[in-house]
Amino acid sequence: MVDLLSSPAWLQTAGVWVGLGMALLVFSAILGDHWLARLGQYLLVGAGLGYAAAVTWHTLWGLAFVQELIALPGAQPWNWTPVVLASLLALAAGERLFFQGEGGPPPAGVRRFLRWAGVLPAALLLGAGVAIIAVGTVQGTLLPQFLYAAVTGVRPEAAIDVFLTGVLVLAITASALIFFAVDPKRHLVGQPPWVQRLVTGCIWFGQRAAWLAAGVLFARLAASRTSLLIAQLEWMRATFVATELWQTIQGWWGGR
Amino acid sequence: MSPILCPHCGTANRAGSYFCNRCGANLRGEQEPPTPSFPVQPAQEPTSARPASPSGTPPAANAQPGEQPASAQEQPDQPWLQPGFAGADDAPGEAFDQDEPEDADAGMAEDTEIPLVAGRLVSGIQGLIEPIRVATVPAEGDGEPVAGAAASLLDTDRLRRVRMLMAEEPLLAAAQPIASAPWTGPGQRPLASLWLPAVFLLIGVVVAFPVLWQLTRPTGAARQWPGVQEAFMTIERLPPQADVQVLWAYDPATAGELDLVAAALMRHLLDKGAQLQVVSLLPNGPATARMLLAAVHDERRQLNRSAGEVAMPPPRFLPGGVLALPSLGAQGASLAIVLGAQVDDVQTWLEQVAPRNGVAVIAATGAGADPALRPYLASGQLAGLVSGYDGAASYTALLDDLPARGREREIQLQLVGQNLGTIVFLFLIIIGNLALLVNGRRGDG
Repeated sequence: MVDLLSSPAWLQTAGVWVGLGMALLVFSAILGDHWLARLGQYLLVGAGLGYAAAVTWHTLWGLAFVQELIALPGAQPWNWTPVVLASLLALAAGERLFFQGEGGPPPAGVRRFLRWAGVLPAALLLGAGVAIIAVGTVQGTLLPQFLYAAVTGVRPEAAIDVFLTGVLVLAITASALIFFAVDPKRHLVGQPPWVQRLVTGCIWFGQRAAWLAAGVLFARLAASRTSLLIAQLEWMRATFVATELWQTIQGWWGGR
Repeated sequence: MSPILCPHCGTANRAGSYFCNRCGANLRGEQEPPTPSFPVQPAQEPTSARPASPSGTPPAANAQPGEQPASAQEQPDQPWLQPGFAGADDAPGEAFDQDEPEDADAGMAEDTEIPLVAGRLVSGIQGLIEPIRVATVPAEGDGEPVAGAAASLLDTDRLRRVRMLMAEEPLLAAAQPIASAPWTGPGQRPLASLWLPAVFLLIGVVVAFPVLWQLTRPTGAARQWPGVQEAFMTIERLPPQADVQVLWAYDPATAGELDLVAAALMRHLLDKGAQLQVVSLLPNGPATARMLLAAVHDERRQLNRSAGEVAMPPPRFLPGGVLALPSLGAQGASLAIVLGAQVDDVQTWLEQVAPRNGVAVIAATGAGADPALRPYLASGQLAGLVSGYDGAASYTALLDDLPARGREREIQLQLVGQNLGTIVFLFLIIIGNLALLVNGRRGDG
């Protein structure tokens, strides 16, 4: 359907001009918060969310288990599980949404049931999410990165520069972790003075490492955001150059 | 109406918001200012030019005694703007548990004196996956043996900014105005503060200039970062018609940068006749992928570069986010490519998919994600890393492909603008630091 709509040339041209107008509206936010900038943002976010909702809805109907349910609803009873859980979650969310802020006694009857029933899918989602993220973090980042730092850092037979680099990586990693994880007020009280001095030194070192890393990240982020600005400017330039107005101006200028 | 600042991440939310748009923290959870029920240590008088606040209060809160910061006066429903505020979930020992009876807190107040802390170790799922634990700022001058050195650690405001940087969202606009900074004492003329729109306009002009005037010099040379050559060789070694998983983790919002990087890799893959299985977790991802792949396909077909027509499945949207991603680990492939603007996109793939199917991964990202992904390249978890305009230009230069290399000019144009923008950034940073240094000395004197 989208292809059919977008095939006329006039519609594609209109899209370019709408995009140019939207870009200028959003860019105007650098001059302050005004209604034109807000209009551009609202239109952009609204259209984006609407498109996302449409795509998600379309994709959901194409999922294998949904197709099986449509073809033979009773063939695979387990296929109903996600449907039931999603419906419960939606109903419970709706109850919370429409009755939030209401005073009075705690809800009873159907509303009470919905509140309890909504906990089940939410807990499942939460539990599964936490498990997946926690396991993934360990197996994909913490373990490999720690092993790599340990192996390269403790290799005395390596060349001196490689060895020192490894030691430095280990020291910075450990100091940064201590800086972010240790609270001197809570964790060092009552510790021997040499422990306090050692950990405080590590915190000092880790703090500088964090500052340095933040500086590098900021520089690269600035470059990345500038790239987006350049791309938008380049797009606007190309759009303007392709217009009849620009060609008319060029012809007028050239023929003068 | 004034925006509501999130007590957790500092994001400015629209007035009337119930939850933070960024981190989801409850903005209306505390109807009353959650004044801690245990004794709060009063703020010490500053002993240096930049004192650390015992409660982790941002420097702007160090106003005259008895004087409320302007922002707090204007927004009485935002207790986190009050000096000495520590969020309910920021306090140690769960002292602010809503379910606790009030007398329990009162008992604690009588018995113990717990220092205010401004950080948290873990806050729900988000705290679990966040890379930074907000360290605390201990009270100054309370006689504790370690307070002296540690008291000069980052305050909450600074840690928030570091945190935002790590999350790839620098908060330039939320910077404290210089006039309210603690180094401007009473009667002292404040520094002239930068007018933020002027900074943006200056950068816009500097960046637009080479683009509009088509300048490819003097700063149009791409920097050769490690990882590009490795990525090129990995694709070069692919057998014909190899299956390649592609996670298309960007949409039109970042396509300006990512399209250039993606196009370079897609040209190479299509020349090798790779069978692409494109998946996106973003609803707008498949459309972005279709547009770029169609453009590259047409270009290669016209140039007779394609290694034969391959019937590729269309890019598909995978709903479910990170929960759905592990299912891709069950699929085998010769190579996986992650095209994403954020670190998280690549990180999630390396954590959820790569350990399951053991397929080599190449990351094609924005420049901002580059520094955080370097450790994965060093450890061998990434087979290649192509990032930003530099990466796109370097990769295109490696292709034995004159038409594609003709596009180097297009990238050069953008590199000039980017580098000039960087020079402006550096200039502003140096000027700002010099102004701070000079004014700081004046204040000390």
